[in-house]
Amino acid sequence: MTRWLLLLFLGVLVGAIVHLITIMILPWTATQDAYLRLSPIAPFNTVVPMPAPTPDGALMPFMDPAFAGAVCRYDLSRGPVKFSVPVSQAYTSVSFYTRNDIAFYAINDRAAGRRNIELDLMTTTQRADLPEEEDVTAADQLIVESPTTTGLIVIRALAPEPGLMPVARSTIAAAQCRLKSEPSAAR
Amino acid sequence: MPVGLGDGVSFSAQTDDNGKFFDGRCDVMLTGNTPTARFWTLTLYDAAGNLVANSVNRYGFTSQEILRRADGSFEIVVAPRASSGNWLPTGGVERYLLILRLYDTAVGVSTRAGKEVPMPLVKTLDCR
Repeated sequence: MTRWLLLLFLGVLVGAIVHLITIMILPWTATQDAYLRLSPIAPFNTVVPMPAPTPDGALMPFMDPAFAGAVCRYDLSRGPVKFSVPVSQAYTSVSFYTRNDIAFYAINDRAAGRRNIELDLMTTTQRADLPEEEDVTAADQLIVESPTTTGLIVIRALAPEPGLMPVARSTIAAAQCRLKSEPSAAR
Repeated sequence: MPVGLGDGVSFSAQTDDNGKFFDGRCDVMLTGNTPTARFWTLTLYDAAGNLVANSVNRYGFTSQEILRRADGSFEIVVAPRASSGNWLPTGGVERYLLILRLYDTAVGVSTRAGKEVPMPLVKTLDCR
């Protein structure tokens, strides 16, 4: 009897462990996550507008239709990325997601406190490699460390009413995302 | 892709205050107030997270669009047929959910606000 109970207990234990492991690796095996859905339309280190959600379909489920959005799929393997976006009159936010869609940083227009949200995105190693003088001036230079080499920067501007959507879109259109070592793109 | 914590907080509902699942063929009334935030949006989705087609192309409200009473509270009617005031069309779908997103708000997981945070009351009126 005890032996059967022990076998039963072991069976349940193994089942529980397999279940837990399966759930935990699920995000890494997903083939339809935000990063992969955006890959075909978003080349590396470039800002591309995200199509607005419609009843016929959307890039991702549960997108907020009151926002104009754009995305920059970043790749830090060739160096840090410089990012900037002017803030709109309503509400502008920039959120950072790792390769596995985990939000690791977000900033909005009010937290930035300027007319532009400007920052440098780099890996922990790249930050450690910064020359010291540059680190001193870092007080007025916002540095964000990414836990993964690739990921997503999502830029969103609110249109408080539908008529203001063009304003929100033009804010987003002015966002820039590029490798820091490259000369600034002429606009 | 969740809303980042530095960005905002979202709340979702698929039932009314009595636990009855939202039915797009019924009139549902939201009354009251939301927690303090610089902006909020309320959006209606089907179970898969898509917007629901309707004749007026309205998928939600923002805090700036809404008509309010003198005391700042509001009333939103979520219903299949047009109604006066703040009408959010359901398109007659069987099940839907409402997502309230607060942007730039002090409300968060860490504030432990719980019951003190004002949330709109959600009541199912009549079904057709």
